Amino acid sequence: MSDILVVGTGNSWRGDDSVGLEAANALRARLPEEVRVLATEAEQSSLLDEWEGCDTVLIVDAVHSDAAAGTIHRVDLNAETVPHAVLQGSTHHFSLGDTIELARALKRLPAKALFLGIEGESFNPGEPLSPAVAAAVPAIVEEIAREVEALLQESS
Amino acid sequence: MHDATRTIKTAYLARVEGEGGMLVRVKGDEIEEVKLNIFEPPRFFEAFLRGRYFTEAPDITARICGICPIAYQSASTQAMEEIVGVEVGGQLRALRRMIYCGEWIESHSLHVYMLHAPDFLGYPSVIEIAKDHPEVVEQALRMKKIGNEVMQVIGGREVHPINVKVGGFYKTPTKAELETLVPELEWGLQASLDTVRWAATLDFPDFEQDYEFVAMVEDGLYPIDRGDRIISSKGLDIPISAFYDHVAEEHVEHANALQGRLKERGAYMVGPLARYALWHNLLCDKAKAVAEEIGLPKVVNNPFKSIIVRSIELVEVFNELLRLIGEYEQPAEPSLDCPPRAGTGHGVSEAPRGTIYHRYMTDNAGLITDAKIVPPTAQNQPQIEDDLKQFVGKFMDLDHEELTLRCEQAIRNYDPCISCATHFLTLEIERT
Repeated sequence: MSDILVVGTGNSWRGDDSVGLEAANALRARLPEEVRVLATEAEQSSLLDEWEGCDTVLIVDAVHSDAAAGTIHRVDLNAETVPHAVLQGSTHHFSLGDTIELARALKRLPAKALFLGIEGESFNPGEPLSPAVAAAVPAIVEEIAREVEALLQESS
Repeated sequence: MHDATRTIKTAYLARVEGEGGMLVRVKGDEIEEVKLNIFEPPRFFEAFLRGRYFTEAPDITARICGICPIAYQSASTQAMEEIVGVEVGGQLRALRRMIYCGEWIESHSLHVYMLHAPDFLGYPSVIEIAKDHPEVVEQALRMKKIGNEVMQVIGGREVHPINVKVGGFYKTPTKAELETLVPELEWGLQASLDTVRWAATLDFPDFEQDYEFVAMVEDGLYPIDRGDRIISSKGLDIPISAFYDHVAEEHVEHANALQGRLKERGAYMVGPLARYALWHNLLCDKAKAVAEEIGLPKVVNNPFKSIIVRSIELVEVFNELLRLIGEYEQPAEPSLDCPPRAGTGHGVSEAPRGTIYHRYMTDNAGLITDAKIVPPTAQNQPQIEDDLKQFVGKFMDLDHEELTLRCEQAIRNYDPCISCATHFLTLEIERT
């Protein structure tokens, strides 16, 4: 099964922003080998190429809203638009939210596309994950693993 | 004419409070205040590098920016190679230049089409362009992907190229591996020529400044991967080791980043307009010809036209990659031996958005005792603020929304690297 992609994204040097990468690394050990797991700090629009040809993409990243640290947000990207604030233009950076909406506009969003956000609280340079966020990693790993296992069963 | 105080404020750079933003305050016809607040992470990295082994610098600094890792790797390897007394030449040097060209392709095509074009075409973002003109955006993504592939063939399939090291590379590609890139590079060369012609048709505000353009000197080549001197359009001509004799880094209260100013004259500009003004004569024939075809002068003082010059630089790097691949022969050894040594080393390269400077000191064991990193945006920041000030002064009669948009565009002219930092989402959740 090469048509499921799990992407964890973030910045490994910015505190809770690394939680997507941590989750992806844990999932790499947890998921069957045929599921591609990508932990990436790259410029986000390159994700369009990464999920090209995939039926399913599951994306994990840190988010910053008014929820409690460690809260898991789940967005079905084919049913919902990414919240508007995410799409604010920037001078240099093309964000994950931009990438998702660009994929939608170009009809390049996989048939199943799920976003899982983990609420962060501290994004200071050089800091480790804050305790509440670190504690949420096993839960999100479990949620994604169950999701992937169900998909694999469906298709077998 | 105007009595009220007008404030133009944008927090659009802000994914985190204080991460970046713009403030222009106007009272009557007077501009009272211009502040650009840009966060950059290099200060943190400078501290983090101290005590690390000298060969770690390329890998660590590559992580400062998701879009220009090669700029940081190039400047840090150059500095370390100076310390250990090794000169990387021949095909190893050519590979360094090739991977850097890949980074330019990725960065410039992203900026030209996906970040800057919406300003000129009257769209809020590239997403709306994609709805009306998907073929244009698909072309941009294809160009960008070529840059990414160049970096992967030479740098490895990791996000931050892991193949570059002090003294050369861990592994060099075969000629056949590089030649697989040629068909797409040939397509990209044509696409970039078309991009120049398209960019020339855009509408530009009537706005010029008397800039001091600053760029590095690269031994008879258009400046990209490694410089030995730095020059300016107003007479600066210094070896890179004299950088801090001429550039003062000032901490300003409203910005987390230090701002670079020439001690002699103040604000200056690095980046595409500077490289083009100083090194137009070193562009390839195709780039020169297309510049002439669209009637672009050899010095461009309108910063909004940086979109044209970036497109010309795309022509240059596609052409340069084809030239270098044609001449490539896989080196016998991927790297030169680099035993540790105490000393001070300097490195300069041209990131897509301008000159980047690194300086390191090491002890006898090869441990880093001091690190200085001056990214291009820190150098451009005073000039961006000056552009905003002059621009608002000239176009004060535009309505608020239009003026705000134009100010944002004026910042985007510099492709500032404000978010080498984070890419988590700002999420607003409405509950009813």
